[in-house]
Amino acid sequence: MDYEDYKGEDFLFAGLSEECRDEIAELRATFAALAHSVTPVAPPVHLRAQIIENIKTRAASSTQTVKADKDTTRPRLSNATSPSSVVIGQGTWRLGLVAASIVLLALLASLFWLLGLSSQRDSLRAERDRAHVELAREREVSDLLTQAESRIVALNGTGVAPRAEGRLAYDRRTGRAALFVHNLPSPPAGRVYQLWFITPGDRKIPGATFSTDAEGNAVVRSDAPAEERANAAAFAITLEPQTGSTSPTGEIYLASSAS
Amino acid sequence: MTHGDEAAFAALYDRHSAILFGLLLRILGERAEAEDTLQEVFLQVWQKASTFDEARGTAFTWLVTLARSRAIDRLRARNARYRAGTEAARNDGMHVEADAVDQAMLSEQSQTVRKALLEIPEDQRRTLFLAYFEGLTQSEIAARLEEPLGTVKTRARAGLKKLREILGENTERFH
Repeated sequence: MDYEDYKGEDFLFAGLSEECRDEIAELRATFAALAHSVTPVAPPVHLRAQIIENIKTRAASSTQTVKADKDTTRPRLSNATSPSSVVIGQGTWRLGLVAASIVLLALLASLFWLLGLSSQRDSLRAERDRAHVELAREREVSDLLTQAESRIVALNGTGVAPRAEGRLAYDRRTGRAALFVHNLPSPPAGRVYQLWFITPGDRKIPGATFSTDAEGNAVVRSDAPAEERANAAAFAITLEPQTGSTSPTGEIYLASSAS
Repeated sequence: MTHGDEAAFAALYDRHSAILFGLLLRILGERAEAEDTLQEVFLQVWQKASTFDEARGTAFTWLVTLARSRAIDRLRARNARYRAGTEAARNDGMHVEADAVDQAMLSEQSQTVRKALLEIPEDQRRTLFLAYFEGLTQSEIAARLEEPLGTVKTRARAGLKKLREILGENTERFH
C-alpha cells in the first residue's frame, strides 16, 4: 500500500511501535469508519459507465501486442557448389527478402490504420463521455429548476457591470444552486467570479468560482454548505483571486435585491 | 480484486461508490470536483490493485484512505476552504444528527457510527473531524482551535480510541 496516502493523520498513530501493528490497523480502520458519518450520495449514473469504460480501455491497451510474422526459413544453398547454383540461390533469397519487406510494410500500414482508427475511437469516446457529462449536468439543472422547493432569484448588475444580469435557482432543502449569468465581462487574467450565499445575519458563505465565455455567459452549479442550506437569503457575485476566497475581497458585480 | 478482474472492480464500485462520493462531497463541497476525484480514486484502485495488502487493513479502509488523500490534496491546492467542515469545526456544529429524511436513508453502519460519535466528548470529535475532513496536521489544528499541540494530539488519540471501544473490536463490520 502507498504509505503516503496516510498523509495528515500520522500524528494519530505516531509513537506506536511496530509491535502494535494490530492496534495501528484497528485505529486506522476506526478512522476510516468516520466515512460512515456522512450521508452516502449516489454518484451520477454516467460516472459508473465512464469509469468502467476507462479501465476497460486501459486493460485492452496494456495487453495489446503486435505480432509480426517472422520468416525464419531461408533458402538453403544447394549442396552443389557450381557458381550457377549459387547465383540462383542468391536470387531466391533476394526475392524472399523483397516479399518479406512487402508483407512487413503491409503490416505496418495496417497497424497505422488501426492506430488511427483506435485514436479516432478514443476521440469519439472522449467526446461521447463529455456529452454524457454535459447531459447529466443539464438534467441536474433542469431538475433543480422544476423542483417545487426551488426558488428563482434575479441578480442585477451593479455599477461596474450595469448590463450584467443573472438568475439563480436555489433549493433550500438540498442547498443546490444553479446560476445563469449573461453579459458579465470576462474576468481579468488571474481572477475569477465567485458566488456568495448570504444569510439574514449578513454572513457571506463562499460558493463556486467560475469564469464566463466570450459572450459573457456562464452556467454554474454550486452547493451551499449543509448547515447553511435553509439560511441563504440573498446572493451576490464578486471578483476574486484565481483560487477563490473564504470571504469577499473584490467588487460586487451582481447581487440579488435583498443583498 | 486483482488487476484484470473487471467484474470484481464493478462490484467494488457498486458497493462503495455512494459512501465515497458522499465523503468527497463533504470534503470538497463541490459536485464536479467530487465526481472528478471519484474517477481518479477508482482509476488508482484499478492501477494499484496488485499492491493492496490485507495485512494493512480492509479494502474499505484502503478506499477511504485513497479518497480522503485525493480530496484533501485538491482542497489544499484549491486553498479555498469553503466547505461546511470549516464552519462546523468553529461552531458547536459537529453535525452528525440527521433529519428524519436522512435518518431513513442511513445504513445501519452509518447510524451506529453517528451514534458513537455523539458519545465521545465534543472537543475530541471536533479534533478528529478537522483531521479527517480537512486533513489538517496537528499543528494546524492547534492553531485553528488555539490549543496547545500536546492537547490536540491527546484529544485526537483519546477520541479515536474511545470510538474504537464504542464501535467494538469488529470495526471491520463497517466495511
